[in-house]
Amino acid sequence: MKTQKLKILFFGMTAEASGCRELQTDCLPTTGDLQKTLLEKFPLLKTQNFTLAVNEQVVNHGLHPLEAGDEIALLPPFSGG
Amino acid sequence: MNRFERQQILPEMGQEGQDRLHQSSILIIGAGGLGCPAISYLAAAGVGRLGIVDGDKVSVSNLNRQTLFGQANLGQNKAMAAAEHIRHQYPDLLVKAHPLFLDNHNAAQLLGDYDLIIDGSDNIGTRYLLSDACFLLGRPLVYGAIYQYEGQLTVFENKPDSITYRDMYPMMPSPDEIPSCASAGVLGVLPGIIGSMQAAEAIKFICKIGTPLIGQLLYYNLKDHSTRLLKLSHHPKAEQNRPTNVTEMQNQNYQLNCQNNLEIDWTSAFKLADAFPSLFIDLRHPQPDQPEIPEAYACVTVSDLNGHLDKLNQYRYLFVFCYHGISSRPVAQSLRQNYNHLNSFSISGGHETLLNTRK
Repeated sequence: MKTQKLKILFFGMTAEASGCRELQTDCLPTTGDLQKTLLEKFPLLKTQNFTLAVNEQVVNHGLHPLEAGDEIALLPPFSGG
Repeated sequence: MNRFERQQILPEMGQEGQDRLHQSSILIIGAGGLGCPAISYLAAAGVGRLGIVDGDKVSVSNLNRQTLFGQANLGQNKAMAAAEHIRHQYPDLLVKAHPLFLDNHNAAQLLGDYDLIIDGSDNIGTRYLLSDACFLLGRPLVYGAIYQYEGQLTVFENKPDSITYRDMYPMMPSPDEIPSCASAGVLGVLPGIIGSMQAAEAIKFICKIGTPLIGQLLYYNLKDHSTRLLKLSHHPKAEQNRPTNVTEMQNQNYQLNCQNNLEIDWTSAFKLADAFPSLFIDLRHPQPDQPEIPEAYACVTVSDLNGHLDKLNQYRYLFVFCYHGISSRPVAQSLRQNYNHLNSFSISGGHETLLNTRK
């Protein structure tokens, strides 16, 4: 049976803000709703710049619809070298 | 027999691939954690001409990861020391040291002289500048970056319709955003891995082997060797934020180093201190009747600071405050410059504003 949840992956500093590298959350209609929920849950994310990928595809064009089982990645820039 | 025999017998490489490498020129920006392994492997592989750009000097804290340097190189310019090392190994290789920092005025001339560019820089401003400059000049850019145990890798082909760094992050962070200038730790082998991958991507690109990471972003985590390969896409704001010609680029400010972000407010400081090991440094003369910052946070007075100087690197953030936020500025600046603690901040408004914050 397909999961009813969304899987969220945190990279770099976003993983420090959330305190985990991966979590499951109830499905929400769009990336905008998810972003709002995550910022409420993890206020430190508000201080961070990140882009989103849905199912390994970076999404740059406004709100992206979500479905149960989707995997969303938070991708902050890295600058170290 | 020649020293490239073992790679020339590879399918897809052959004499043709080796010739392509030999005819190519590659410029490495930064002879640091990423640059050192990239330089090593590109030189060994027989790239015809290498350029190395770095204005920095070798310091002792570099030696855990910058493997072209040793104790004897301390204080020397990195580009010069790296070029010397490579010349010693391969006297027939053309290698040029550019002992300077890349900036928006020298970028076009430096990059224009090479076929492919490796981004081994260590700050966000240079990464935007490099991406913009390489796009304007149509030079392929092999991008690599690290954060703690994680690394990022991609190839920007920089054809007119290519995806660039600005498609990932269209705007440079504004100076009032909390910077992520990581004086954070690094295990030397991580940039070793990512820098080697950058060399591999450059060789694949030049010799037309396999599938270079064009339009794809690789995330790698050293802790469990997990990887994620993400497909990149154009960002609607990339183009409008990118300079359209070299003159525009020269007029753009890429100097977004941490020095611009010396100040921070109490609310942000407490938020960061909740999440990361942080130390507050109180510059005021002891005044027991005044409200202090909550006990949950580590705080030292200026007289205790001397005993803490060797322990500063235990803390991710240092927050210096005084009465009004004036004398704390040079102290925070000095912690950055003299103690290399880049995440040192002066709390704006000083202790005076703490009362308002806590209401």
